[in-house]
Parts: sequence; structure tokens; C-alpha cells
Amino acid sequence: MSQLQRGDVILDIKNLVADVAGRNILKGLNLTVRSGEVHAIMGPNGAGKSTLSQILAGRPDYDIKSGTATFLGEDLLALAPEERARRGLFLGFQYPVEIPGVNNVYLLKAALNARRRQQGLDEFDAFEFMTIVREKMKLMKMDESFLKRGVNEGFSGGEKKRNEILQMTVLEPTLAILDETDSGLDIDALKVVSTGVNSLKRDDRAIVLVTHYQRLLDHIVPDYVHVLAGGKIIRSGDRTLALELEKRGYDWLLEETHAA
Amino acid sequence: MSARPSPALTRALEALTDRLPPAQREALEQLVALGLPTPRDDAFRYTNLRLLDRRDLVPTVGAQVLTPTDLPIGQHALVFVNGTLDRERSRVPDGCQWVTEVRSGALPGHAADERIRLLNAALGREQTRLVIARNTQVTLDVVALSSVGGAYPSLLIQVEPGAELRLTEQHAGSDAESVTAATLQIELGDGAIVDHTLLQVSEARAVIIGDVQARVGRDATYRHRSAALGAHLSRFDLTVQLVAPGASTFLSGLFLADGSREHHLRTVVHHQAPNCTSTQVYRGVASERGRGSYDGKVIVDAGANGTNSSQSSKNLLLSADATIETRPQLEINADAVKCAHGATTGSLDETMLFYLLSRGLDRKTARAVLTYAFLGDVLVDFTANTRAFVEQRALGRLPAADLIRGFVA
Repeated sequence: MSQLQRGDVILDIKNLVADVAGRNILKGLNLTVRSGEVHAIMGPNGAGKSTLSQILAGRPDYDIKSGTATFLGEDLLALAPEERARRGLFLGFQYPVEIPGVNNVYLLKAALNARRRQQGLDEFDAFEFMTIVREKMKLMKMDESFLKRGVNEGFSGGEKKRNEILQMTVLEPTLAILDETDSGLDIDALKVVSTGVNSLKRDDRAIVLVTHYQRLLDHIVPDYVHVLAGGKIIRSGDRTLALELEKRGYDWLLEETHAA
Repeated sequence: MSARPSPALTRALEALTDRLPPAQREALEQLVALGLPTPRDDAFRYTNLRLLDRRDLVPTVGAQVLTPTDLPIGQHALVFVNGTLDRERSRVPDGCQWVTEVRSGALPGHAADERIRLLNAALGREQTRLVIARNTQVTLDVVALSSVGGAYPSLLIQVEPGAELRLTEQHAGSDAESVTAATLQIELGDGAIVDHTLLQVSEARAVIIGDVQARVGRDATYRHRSAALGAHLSRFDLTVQLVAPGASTFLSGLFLADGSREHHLRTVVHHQAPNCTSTQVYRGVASERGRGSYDGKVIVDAGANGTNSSQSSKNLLLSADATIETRPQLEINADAVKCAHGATTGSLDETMLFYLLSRGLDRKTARAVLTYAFLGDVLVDFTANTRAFVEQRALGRLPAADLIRGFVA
């Protein structure tokens, strides 16, 4: 894989139509994400935001009816979830899963080394890995006890989100999709999480923030804001669109779209 | 009760008839008439002993060369070889009274769940009795090794008031078609504590049937944790009687039934006095054509008010051909009691699986990791010296073991 330049296409979704349990959720969605960009996808509840995130990560219980999605030039939808992850796609879960008995940090080490093998790089040994993790944990203001715990086991809502972002900063994905990462965070935790996300920004990566509220965007400034409603992107703009949504809500936009 | 002729019992009677003392011959004749329990007997609903038909039940005399196990035997141990105490390898702490003698006493009854004890009484020659003296602390290993043919170890332990016993019982043996029917009776005096670990790590063709009975006195505590990992078929019956106020018991265990292995467990916890506590936590995993069962009954007598009891049996099926049956039962005859039970049998959690895949783990590793983690609730119950042993053995029974060691380190 050659080095990505700012502006290279990372993710390209065309006319994506998808069902969940027989119900049509995505109805012809288009989205292009280029290297170096931060996108925010906003929208009312039930618009299909989480569905989109989960489909991109490869969750099996969605039924793709038509349309395409390419990731770094490959057919994303043909790849297994683990292949997507190893190629540099990361989903920060809205509800990170608790897996008691599976060591949190060892999972992270296995994840990182799976990614490095894919990239043709040597695996990190325990010492190299711990050096990286300790540095990122400091950034995320996480204490040593996280090293010993089970994956998200007994974590508070905020700790789980922080753990997702820790994973992201260690894995350094080419495309990070963060699904409602801001929900359930108090203002201090929001700042820490935002610091983590901002540390990922680089010309050869991209970030997609899926969020209901604009407050996250005060901390992570997007280049583009999209409104997802009724299974489609109905409006795209710059960050001023998010501010307008904050003031006026979504209804005016839905009515305008409906009228058009 | 159903009579089903057992060719193996008939053969044993023919072979031994002139050699058995009268009481044992009587027991064997009773058994031949009764037959071994079958799935039509409620207590053996999930366990089919038909494969014993083709086996040799005649006890093996004389020690054989045996597979050593990798769990070191402690300073004090009772070592049974094919059911007979190996006096040279056995060492009991100073001050412990003990005796190994030819069996005596009344024969067990005829009910299905007494017939394994009857088999043990009919074919086992000797019995070992041990007393843990009042207010002493003893650590003891019991190792039952079998090579071929029948093995019928029998042990009675009396734990006097205030005494503490840490008991590690291990069943192991070479890869031959051996049959072990073992009995262990433990009497706990007032305030006594017994911490009992039972490890079944026999080789692939062995059949192990064990009967454990504990009688728990006032404010005494009986802990029991088991790991059924080896053998072709293992079946354990665990009966705990809480006979005086304040008695408590904590039972936990895991089994891994891979290949065509079978592991069956039946527990009966009998609350006979007020203010007693019992908890049970069992986890089972079956893969390939493996089979398993947990059949657990809690009985609360009238007047056993203040009973606190819980049962949890969770099971994981890793293939379409694997089966696990679970039946937690409650029989409550008192009013002021707190009893909870829960049982599940299912496949791996898809949400957890997707989470691991989304982090780049391959499917095989992710499944193995989740399977191992499933046993976590019980693995934590094992104490330092046996935990590493059980973890390694459990990993060895799982698919892709080498991929998952680190995840649980």
C-alpha cells in the first residue's frame, strides 16, 4: 500500500441500500471520505446512523440490498470484519461490549499485531507494546488498573468510551468511525476523549464522527457535516451546519427535504 | 427402578464368585439382579452406562506402571492404585489416625442413586478411614490412579469439630479401558472446614464414576470445586447434607466435553436445619460430539427456615452435534427461605464475537477466547496451586489452545 496523500479517497459509498430484520434502513446513501478529513454525520434518532457504522465495520445481521462501498480501493462489503480491521478500519462502538475474563490489554496487543502483520511489519514484543500503551493511557488519563481488567468488565459508561478511544489511538487506523462516542460523557471525559481523537488527525487518515449532538464538534472540529435522515444524507455542509442544527433542531430540514 | 441385565456384572460374578467374602458376594448378586442404573431411572436420566457392558469390571490386583500426572503430589497423600491403597507412596500427617481395612458394615441400598456405592462395596476389597483431629489443620492429596480393569477406592474422612482439611482429589490413569467407581464420605463436625478440589484428568478411554457424600455440622463449611477434563465418560454424584444450623456449602465446577467425551454431574443439596447456605456455580462446554449434564436438586426440609440457596448452571455448545442437558430443581417445604436458580444452554454470544472480530482477531481465535472466558466464573474458584494446572488442562481441551493462552494470563 502506497502512502496516502491528503485528498486521496479512503471510503466511497454509493447508493447503499440495506435492511435490518426485513426493515429498510438505508435508502440510497452516498458518502465520500478523503484522507486528512474529519466528517460528522448527524441526524435524528432512528435515522440509520448506527446502522451505517455497523455495516461499515461488517456486522453480519444486516442485509445489503444494493449499492457499493469501497475502502482504500477494495470492495469493503466483500471483506470479513477482521479483514476490515486489519486494513485500518476502526469502529468505536456506541455500546462497547463487556467480555469478562478476556484481558483488556492482551486483546489490544493481539489487535495491534494483527494489523501489523497485515501491513507487513514485525509484531511488537511485550516491552515495545507496553511502552506504547502506557503512553496512550497517559493521554487518555487512564490508570494502571485498566491493564489487568477484563475487556470493559465493570467499566462505567465513560470508562468504556475512553477504552474505545485508547484502542483507537494504539491501533492508529486509517479510518476511524466513532459511533456516538460522546454519549454518556461528562464534560471532563468529553475533553479527554476529544484529545485522544484529535491526536489521531493526520494527512494520511480520516475520522468519521457519528453524533446526535453538536457539543462534540466544539472539541473535534469537522471539515464536513452531513445530516442523515430517512436512510439518506439529506444535507451536507461545513461546521456551520452543525451550529444551525444546534439552534434550530432537525425538523426544519426534514420539512424542507420533504417539500423538495 | 428398572432391571436391565448387565453382562459385565454377570461376568464379574462368574469370575469372582469363589473369591469374594460372603457380604461382597451378596452385594454383587444383588447388583446382578438389579442391573446398573439406566436413563429410565430418574437419577440417571442423562447418563447412559451402557458402554460398561463391554468392559471388564473385575478389580485389577497389583500395581501397574502408570502415567504420572503433572500436578505434583503434596507432602501428605493417600495414593490409590487400581483402588488399592499404595502404602509406600502414601504419607499421612503425624497425629492423624487412619486405618485401611477389609470392608465391613451394612451394604448400601438398592435405589438407582445408591447402586454405584453398592458396586463399590461389592467389588472393592478395602476401605480407608481417616480422622482429622479436633482443631488441627491438614492438607492432604488423594490420588486415584487406574490402569486397566476395575478400581473401587473407598475413603471415609471424619473431620472433628474445629478442624480444617484442604483436600485435593485427583483421578488419573493410563490410556486403557479402566472403570473406576469411587466413594468418598466426609463427616464435618461443628465448625469444621473442608476445602475439597476434585480433578478428573484421566486418559481418553477411562470411565470414572464417583460418589461424594458430605454431612455438614453446625457452623461448618464444605467447599467443593471440580474440573472434569479427561476420561471417556465421567459421572459424579455429589450429595451434601446440611444437618445443623449455620452449616454452609459452596459448590462449583466446570467440564469440557470435546470429541465424544461425556461428563455428567448430579448434585443433591439437602437443607435439613435452619439458617444454612448453599451456592452452586457450574459451567459446561461441549464441542464436536461431546455430551454433558448438570442435574442439581436442592431440598429444603420443613422447619429449615432462613435457608439461603442458589444454583447457576450455564452451558455452552460449540457444535450442532454437541448436547448439554441441565435441570436445576428445587423442593421447598419451608416458608422463610431464599432460593434462586438459573440455567442456560446456548452458543457463543454474537455481540461479543463481533466485537473481537472488529478488533482484527480471526474467527477461530475469537471463538476460542470467548469459550475460555466462559469458564472464568468457575476458574477463579480454584486456588493457586491447582488453578494453573486446571487452566493449562482446560486450554489443552479447547480448539486453538495455543492462540488463547495470553488472553487469560
